[in-house]
Amino acid sequence: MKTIIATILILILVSAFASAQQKYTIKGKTFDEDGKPLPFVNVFLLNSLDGGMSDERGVFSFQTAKTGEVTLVASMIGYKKYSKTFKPEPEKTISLSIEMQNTAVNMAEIVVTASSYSSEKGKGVVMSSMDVITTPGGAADIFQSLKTLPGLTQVSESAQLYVRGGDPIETITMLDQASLYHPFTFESSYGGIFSNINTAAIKGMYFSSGGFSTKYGNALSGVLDIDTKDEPQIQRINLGVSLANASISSDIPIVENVLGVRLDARQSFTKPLFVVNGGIDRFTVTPTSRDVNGALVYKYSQTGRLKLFGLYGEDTQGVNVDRPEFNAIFDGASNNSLLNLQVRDVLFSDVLVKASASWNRYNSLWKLGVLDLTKRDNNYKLRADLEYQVAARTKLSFGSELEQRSSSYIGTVQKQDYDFRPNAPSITLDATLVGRRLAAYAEVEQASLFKIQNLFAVVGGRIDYIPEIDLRWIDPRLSIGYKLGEHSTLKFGWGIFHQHADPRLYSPEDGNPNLKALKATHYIAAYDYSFSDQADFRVEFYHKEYTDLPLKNAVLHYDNGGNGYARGIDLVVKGSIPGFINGWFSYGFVDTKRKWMDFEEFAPSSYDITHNVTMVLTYSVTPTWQIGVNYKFATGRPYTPAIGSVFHSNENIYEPIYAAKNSARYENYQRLDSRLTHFEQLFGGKFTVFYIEGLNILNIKNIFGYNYSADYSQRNEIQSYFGRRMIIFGMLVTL
Amino acid sequence: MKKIIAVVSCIALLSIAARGQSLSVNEIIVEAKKSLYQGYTVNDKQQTLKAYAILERALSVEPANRLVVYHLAYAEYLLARIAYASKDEKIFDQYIDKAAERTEKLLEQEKGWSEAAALLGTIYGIKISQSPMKGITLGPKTTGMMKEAVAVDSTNPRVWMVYGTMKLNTPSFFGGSVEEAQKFFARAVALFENTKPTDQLQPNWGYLDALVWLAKSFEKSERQQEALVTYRKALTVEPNFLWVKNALLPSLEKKMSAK
Repeated sequence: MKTIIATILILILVSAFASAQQKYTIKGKTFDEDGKPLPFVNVFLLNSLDGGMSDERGVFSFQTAKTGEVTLVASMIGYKKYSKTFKPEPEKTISLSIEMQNTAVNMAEIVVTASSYSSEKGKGVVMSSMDVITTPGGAADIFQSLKTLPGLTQVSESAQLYVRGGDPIETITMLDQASLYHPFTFESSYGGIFSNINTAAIKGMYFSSGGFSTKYGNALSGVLDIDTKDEPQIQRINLGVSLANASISSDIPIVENVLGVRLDARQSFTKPLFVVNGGIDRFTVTPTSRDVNGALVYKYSQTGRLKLFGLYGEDTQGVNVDRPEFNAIFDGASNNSLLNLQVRDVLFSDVLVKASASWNRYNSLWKLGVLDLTKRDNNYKLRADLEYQVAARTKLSFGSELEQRSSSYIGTVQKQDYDFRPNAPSITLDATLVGRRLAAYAEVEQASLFKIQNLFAVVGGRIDYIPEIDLRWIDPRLSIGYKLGEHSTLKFGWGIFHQHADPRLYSPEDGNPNLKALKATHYIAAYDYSFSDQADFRVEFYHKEYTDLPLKNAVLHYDNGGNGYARGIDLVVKGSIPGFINGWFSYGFVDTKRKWMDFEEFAPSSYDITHNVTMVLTYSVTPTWQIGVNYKFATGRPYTPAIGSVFHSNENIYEPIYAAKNSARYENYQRLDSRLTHFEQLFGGKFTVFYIEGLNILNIKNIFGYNYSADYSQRNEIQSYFGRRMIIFGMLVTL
Repeated sequence: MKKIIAVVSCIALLSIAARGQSLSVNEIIVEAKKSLYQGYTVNDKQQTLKAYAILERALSVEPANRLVVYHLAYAEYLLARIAYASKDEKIFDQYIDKAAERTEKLLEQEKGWSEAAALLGTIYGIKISQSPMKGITLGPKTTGMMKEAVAVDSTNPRVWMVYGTMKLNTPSFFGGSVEEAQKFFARAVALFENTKPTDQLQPNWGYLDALVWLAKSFEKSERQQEALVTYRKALTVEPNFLWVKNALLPSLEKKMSAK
């Protein structure tokens, strides 16, 4: 018996000593970026319970018996997780110094694209998808809601983005890296009314009204960059119906966290809207549109994701138009298709790669008397963007794109702008212009520049080249920012921006294949003050100098003799006021003049809207009832009035005599939209939203243009057909 | 012989100790629960952070253990409360967002688990108090969730408590009712008092909160004497419950003496 007990004793002792010998100590200190000790940091070995917490002096110490390769993690809220893998030598104490990086000073904040608005925190003034959905009068449309932000001028009811006195073609729209041309429905001389991108498909968007990154090229004034949603986590169906449209969205996870489908479809039928609100007599075909967005997302690894996104939208409309020379009908129809395959992954553990291959096709048909024009745009694009975090405070971004665009113009157009009669003299067009654009960019973002803690900068450049017309340009850009305090930042931006002219201006027949790219130089100074995560104030001063604008030329058709400027101030205050009021106020002042196209003298541009004021307020009366108002004021738009006419007896028509270009202005634009929203749980607890919206509730007459009598001696005002007072109601159910 | 066996036993225990002070994941949960309770009652951030730290380590060992995830989310909620009290919005947002994300995921995986629903309702509740705008979407969502949770498990006191807070804080026109809230809180208190925990790993927080909410509902319906009794009861249960001891009770007493 004694022998057995002795044996057990020896075994236990050996075991105990063996265990004790394997133990070793890991100790050290945690500190922040300023070198100050950081208490309460949780330091532990991954996949084990061994660890400790740093004390008031930042000191930690713990014992472990783990052998082989171990990963040490240091974690604390507000700081990036620290991790280090090493192979400890048993019996030796390991000493570590751990510097924790504050997440508040991340690179996202350092992107000094001076004029950014975003749906992501940390990228500037935030506009959430809820803001888009609840903006009164915005019809839950991203473009209509974006127009309530400063820097975007209220030229008409159109959803097109008129950025800081620029033409809408000066702003590009990108979706998951693909270029999306003509992202509107009902595009006509009124401009597009709504976007054909369904808000339900959007994960985040970034909008800049100037001074943007070299990542974005071939745009003179602005950029809207949209990211669509990733794979759905839960199955969900949203149904919506209103007086003007019906929609369905569904999220279908196929393999949890791996594979899923999203589908969004909308059909608009404006007939009930005009029957209820009046105005149906203006149409021969009431504006009707439909669009479908769909995405198949495959998360093939922890970091890799493949997304196939498709979009198709189409619309038709027929409108009675009273022209001086005859009573006409404008028939318009268009369709837009986009297919994009995007891959995102992290390579070599810290290089973020995004690449996409896309195809976008747009067809439109415009008919008005002799005008019978079909326009086709076909665009293929390959794009890659890479981001590499070189060091904690340095990020390198670079990438390239290859775009092939073909634009066709087929049909007949009026020879004289004053004669659209069906048998009027016309010009036959059958032109297809094909061009490729190759581009590359690189950009460095540096925090703590010259070791100055609060100074940061972005410097970069891009090069674009169109081989068909041997056109190339280089755009250098620079932004510098200084954090004045915890809440305020001062930023300066400078950059050169180029964009090729409208493809039709390169036509050898009636354009000039040797046209240079249009050029704009941006100077921006901005001051941001963030009251809290939800409340911001921003003021920006900008000056945009245009050169090399296309100008009509008697011999060459067009040359690059045009120039101009746009300068102004934009300010926005956004936030919540205690008492459940949420909203924003924006004001923009712009002074812009140009000499370009057929404006042969320096004159106010057609987008010279001196004062723009927008106030959006939503008030939650109770947790389930919300009321909102959206007030807009804009200085009247410049136009060129007809001041007389000459009668051409052989053609039996009056030719108008115009005053100086843009020498008059329409009445100031004003509009008040309101919305009452009720959130309820119906149909077995399903989240249901009811809303009733009053558009232009004060029925303020906003003039879009004038109809002239046959001899141009009298004129009548034209209102945009979505500009009159209207009531829309509807509901949205989440199943 | 006995002597020898005693020596052997002693050495065996020493051997186990020498293997390390390391506890099992279950022991960690029990330990963390104690720290969280202490941290909550005396508003001790350090104690709460310690519990959070050991739970975070436990999660690295057993990431699929639903109780570890649950208690970690609860610790995050308590840390968000502390940040809320000290008006540190950024830290509040970070903790509460983490807690919400974790609990939403948990509820997705463990559909019908009333404990996760109650915790998520509590998390949404504090989100609404911090930003009333969120009440538009989170308010009806939480009420719906509590209705479902009560239907699934009517013996869970935490569910009744959260349901009560929604009733208390919703205007009567939209379905709120102080009387109904009182009934729910009273039911929660009764369940806390009459149900003995069978498993020490399971959640058991909320008794003190239920008493506070019941007292608050009494205050709201001008039944101050009953509110006073209820606050005092909370102090009998936990004499160091600083929220009641230093704030709620003195404030009520002051109001009553002013009358």
